[in-house]
Amino acid sequence: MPSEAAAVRQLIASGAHKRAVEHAKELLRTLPGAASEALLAEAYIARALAFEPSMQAEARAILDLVATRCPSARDALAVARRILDVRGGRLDEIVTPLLEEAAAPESKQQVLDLLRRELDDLGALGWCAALPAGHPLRVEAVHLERALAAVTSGPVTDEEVALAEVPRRSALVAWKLLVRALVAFHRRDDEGCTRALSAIPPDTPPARLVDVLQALLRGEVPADPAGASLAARVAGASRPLRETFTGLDTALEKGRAKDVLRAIREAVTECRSVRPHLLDRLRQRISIRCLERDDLTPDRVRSAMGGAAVRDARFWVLRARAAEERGHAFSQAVAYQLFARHAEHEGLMTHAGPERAALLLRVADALAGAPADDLSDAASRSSRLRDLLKEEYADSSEPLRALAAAAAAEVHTWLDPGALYREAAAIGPRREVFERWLAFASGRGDQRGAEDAAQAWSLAHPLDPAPVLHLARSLEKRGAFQKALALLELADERGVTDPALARSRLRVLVRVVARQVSKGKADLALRAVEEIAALPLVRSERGAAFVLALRWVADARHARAVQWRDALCAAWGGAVSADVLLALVGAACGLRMADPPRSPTLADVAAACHLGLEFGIELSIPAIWRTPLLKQLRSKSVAAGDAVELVALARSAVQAKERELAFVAAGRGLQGDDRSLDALLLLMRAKNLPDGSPRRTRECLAAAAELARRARDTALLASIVAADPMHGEGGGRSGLLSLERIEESDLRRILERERGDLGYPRDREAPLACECPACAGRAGYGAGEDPFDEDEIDDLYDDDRPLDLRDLEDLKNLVGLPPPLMALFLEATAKYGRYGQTPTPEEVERRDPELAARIRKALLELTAGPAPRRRKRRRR
Amino acid sequence: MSAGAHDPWAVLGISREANDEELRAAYLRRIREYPPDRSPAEFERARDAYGLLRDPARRLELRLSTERPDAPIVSLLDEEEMPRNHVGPGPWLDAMRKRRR
Repeated sequence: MPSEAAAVRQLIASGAHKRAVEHAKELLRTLPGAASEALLAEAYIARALAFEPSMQAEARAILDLVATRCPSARDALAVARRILDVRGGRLDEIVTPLLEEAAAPESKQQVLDLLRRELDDLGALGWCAALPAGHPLRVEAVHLERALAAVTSGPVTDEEVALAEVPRRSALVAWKLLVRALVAFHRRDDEGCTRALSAIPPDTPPARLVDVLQALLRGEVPADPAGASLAARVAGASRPLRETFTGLDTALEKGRAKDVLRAIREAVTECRSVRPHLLDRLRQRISIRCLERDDLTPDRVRSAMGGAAVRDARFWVLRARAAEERGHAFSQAVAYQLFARHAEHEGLMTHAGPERAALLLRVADALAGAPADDLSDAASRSSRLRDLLKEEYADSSEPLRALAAAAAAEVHTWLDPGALYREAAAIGPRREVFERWLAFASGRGDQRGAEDAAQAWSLAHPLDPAPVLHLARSLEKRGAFQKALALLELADERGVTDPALARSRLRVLVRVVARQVSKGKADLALRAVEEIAALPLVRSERGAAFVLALRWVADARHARAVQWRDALCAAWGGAVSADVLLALVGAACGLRMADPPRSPTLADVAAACHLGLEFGIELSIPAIWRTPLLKQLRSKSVAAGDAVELVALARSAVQAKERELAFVAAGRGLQGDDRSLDALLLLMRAKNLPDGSPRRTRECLAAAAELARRARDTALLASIVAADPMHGEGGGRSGLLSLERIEESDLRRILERERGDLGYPRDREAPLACECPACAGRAGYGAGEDPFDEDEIDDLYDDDRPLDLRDLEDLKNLVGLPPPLMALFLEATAKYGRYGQTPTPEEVERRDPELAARIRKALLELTAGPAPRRRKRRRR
Repeated sequence: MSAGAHDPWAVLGISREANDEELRAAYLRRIREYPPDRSPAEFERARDAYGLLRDPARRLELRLSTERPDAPIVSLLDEEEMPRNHVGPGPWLDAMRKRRR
């Protein structure tokens, strides 16, 4: 019996009153007796007391039934009836003991306890006629009711809810604490609210709202219907809303188009009803998320949403960020342009403000990474973009349509990185901006554009030598030596000081000497030499030797040349060494020596190359010196000179396109004691390997990059990365860290190998064991261009098109393309490629629709996830 | 749920449209109100917020990254402060009565 009774009481405690009654009835039948009868009465009473407030009559009927069946439960039934009376607001009889002076204190306390535990209608107590109007309980109830109404209806002052009339020991104190909690809740004083809630006694009616308020503070929805309904009214919180939003997320990720559209409709409907102020943002989010789905056209999405997403700054920044994450530079540029327009319109940004400059830079940098062909192609689509924008804003207000039209009119500038850099520099002429502008123009081989950037830079930063250097170099390349010298002179007068400027001036003057010598104008050549001799840069013994060599060159057809040679012999370690120097300097100035040395020593050649490099002249080693120099480089008994001289020798060999000589010189340099040039020497080895050695090339570059990183030589690292055959336009979008990091053991192995090998590979490297793109890429074979270019502008707006070949943009970075897809690409290239170029998607569509359809099908199979289960139709 | 703690504009008490002058004035006001010796935590928050907002590139980055394009739709509900509407005493009392055990 005790365990059965415990089970019944457990059911009562968990709220399963009906089952508790059934169990108790069964128990009474199987074990009749007073205890079972009392238990059944208890179950019935609990059931009656659990009825809805509107079912008071039914509750009383049950109690009456229990009274007839279980007379022993008379006392418990009396208590239950009193509870129902209090709940029903029938307080007259209940409160009578409070007015009887003769009543025992216990019975008065029982009344107070009953009111404390069960009264949930303050008005019934406040207007209870059985109590005098001034009775403390009536006064407290009236004030509490008034305060509760005030605090739940609007902002209140502290005085309005002070409730001094309700003492701490009052039977109604729980209500005072509830009022305090609600005041704090509406004032968003979450701490104060939590404090008040924690003080509410748990066996009082206000305690039933504690967990609801706590859930609201956490931003959650209570699980029970009553709590959820209250939360929906107070906070617009809705479990259904959260569930529909979660369902929409699932559909967008995995579902088919019709599932997504259905989920969109449900989400919009629910949101409109519960949180209408979120509807615009919801539509924007949906619109952006649906861009990832090619099976959802904008019209279908708009229709499911019941309207278009609002086009504002928030919308366009989401759109731009989505394009940015997908690497779609053009879509990003257009979206950011529109974001900027809207941001200015909404007062978030000023037109010529620093944030706009930062935005222009961001877009310019993204576009600068795009292939040049794409850039010029995209610019030609700007007129189509204007029409598309007009369509997109067709339903917008007049000011926004005008905004879109203004944006469309200048969209072509937003697709031109040079124009963007220019504008960013005009707004905020920071050095960094000019550097990026110049790097972009130089990288594209746009000499004029680069000069524009350098000139603007120099105007903004007159004392900065970098733009002057660039301009001088650019003028020098064009052969405009006098302009270059004039520019350098002006910079000098302005106070721009930098050793590189002095070297630049020297180099240009040497070019002038060479030019005048080639024209046979000895006097002008000599004048240039005199200018060189006056430069502080050459005021050293080595400088003097260099000037002597130049004087000899200028006077080569004059008898004075002999005295210059004699002086050089004295200054440069003898006639043999001097002749080597003269042969090289003369050749650099276009002058052929009548009787050049046939077998110069390695040390003499290296020293001469070093001298030339020191004074900015790249000397070129004659072909007839190749064999004797190689023999000496490979001979351990021949002194080679230090690594610096060997680097200079290698560079001169490169200048003369003597790859083997450069390769071996760099290897000999690695054998020296100076480790600081290892990275540079490895780079030279890599650049001068024959074409059939891609693996070794990549290894040397990776080792060089690792050493350069350790030395924090970013300039050298950039050169190394630029030498990477997988870097550059059309290849991977690589930054400074494109080359893989290598282990220490591999670095040592590569260095040892290159140090020990002064031969020159003649044979092509053995084929790879595995030729899949991943292994080939790691081995240094070029990734090749993606056969199908992505048309990003069309991708932005042409949402009606079916999945097509251009979608490969998302796939081209996949390592290990599936063989069926690779076979289709190769078929297209073999049939329709020209001169080794792969055909465009349009071409394949036009010439071979069947092949195009097969590629589309293969793409679809590759990109579609597992098909969702079909729902079985119910048979009726 | 309040986003103010992580919003530098909210820390300095200015709108997102504030210009550089307003930004600086708000910063100076804030650090006068919370000097480092009396309110080191608030001072640091104000200083960090100013550091973020005075750099146009960082300010732009902040403005661009407030919302992720691939964020789940359900995060819309997490991001905003839930309203706390005044609905009168009725719904509260109704819930109280229905939640009797």
